[in-house]
Amino acid sequence: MVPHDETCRWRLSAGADLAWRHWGGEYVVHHALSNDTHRVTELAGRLLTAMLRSGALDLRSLAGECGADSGQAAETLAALAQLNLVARC
Amino acid sequence: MLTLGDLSRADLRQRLVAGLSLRIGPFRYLVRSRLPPVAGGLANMYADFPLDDGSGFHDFHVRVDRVAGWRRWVRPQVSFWWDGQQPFKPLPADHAYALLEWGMNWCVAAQAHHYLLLHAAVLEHRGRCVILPGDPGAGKSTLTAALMLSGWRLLSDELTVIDRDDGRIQPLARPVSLKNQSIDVIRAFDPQAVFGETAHDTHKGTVAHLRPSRESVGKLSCKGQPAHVVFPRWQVGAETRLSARAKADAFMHLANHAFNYSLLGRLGFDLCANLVDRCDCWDFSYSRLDEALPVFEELVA
Repeated sequence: MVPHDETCRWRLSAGADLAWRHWGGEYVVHHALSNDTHRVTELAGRLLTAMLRSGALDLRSLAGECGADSGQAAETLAALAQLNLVARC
Repeated sequence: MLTLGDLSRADLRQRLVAGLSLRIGPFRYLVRSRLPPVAGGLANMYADFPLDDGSGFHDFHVRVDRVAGWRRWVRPQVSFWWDGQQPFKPLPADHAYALLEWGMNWCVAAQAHHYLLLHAAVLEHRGRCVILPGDPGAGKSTLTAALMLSGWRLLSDELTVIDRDDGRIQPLARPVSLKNQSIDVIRAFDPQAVFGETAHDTHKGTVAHLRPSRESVGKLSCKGQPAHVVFPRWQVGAETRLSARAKADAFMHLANHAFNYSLLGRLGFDLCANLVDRCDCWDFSYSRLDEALPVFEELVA
């Protein structure tokens, strides 16, 4: 379990300009700056699209918007941060 | 309309010295060669292609000829030239025609970046295209040949060319390259099928080209509508089985095996994603052509 602070705010990484598709419980995401394409889980896709819609959000709001608990969301955000798709702010 | 097959062999060889113009779908090649096997291969494989006068712009200027020096005489070699450059190492002289075909594929794969280029065969029946991506040995070309010989329109056996403006598929109906056991399988499947000379001991093994059907050549200006992406897998004794493949997985495979997905950036993503949006995606395992073909008939029914 990744230690998490529910007030910590997350945003899409700078220059991400994400394009995405949602097919059958999975997302495929294109990151414009790196030109990388990633196949990610349903929750990861929901987190990304929530930040696309709403901009920076704290962990609790993100988790609530995506129907996940904070622990799951924090773990997924940490994985997305490793891919340079999201960053803390 | 005059076709390449109407030319006498002497006339064809003369044109090849000056430059033979070939229009293949959206591309025009100017082909030069002094080698009789190249003339023979073209006469055989491109017999139904219309002749044009050769004037105007050509996308690719290509040539296959003997290399200079002592290799003209000792274990002779041939080379492929594109715009005066040699992108490949020379090959044994008896691979001349195969080298021309590989070189012509390379021209499109390496340079036609105004399209999304997928490494996949594509055929059409009843107005619906089936795209067949496949790793080497997956049985893609065998299936392609059998479908074409069963009345399907061949758009390409190697390169699926996606138009960036409308997402439709540009035809590139050139000879189907068959390898090793597939050659005999297709000869047995259709004894009337027209093959070129067999090239032995190439880097792909034994290779022979199969002439594209007249119907496929006649529709080289008609784009196709993508409907299905089918990932074939040939295995000895495998049961014929079609099963749905996750679209995200199909997307990643297509993108990873495209010639220019990364190069096109966001446009590559959009074109590939739009293609997957409009297609059903499948895995297909088979070992017998007589069982495989009805499955494809049903797909486009």
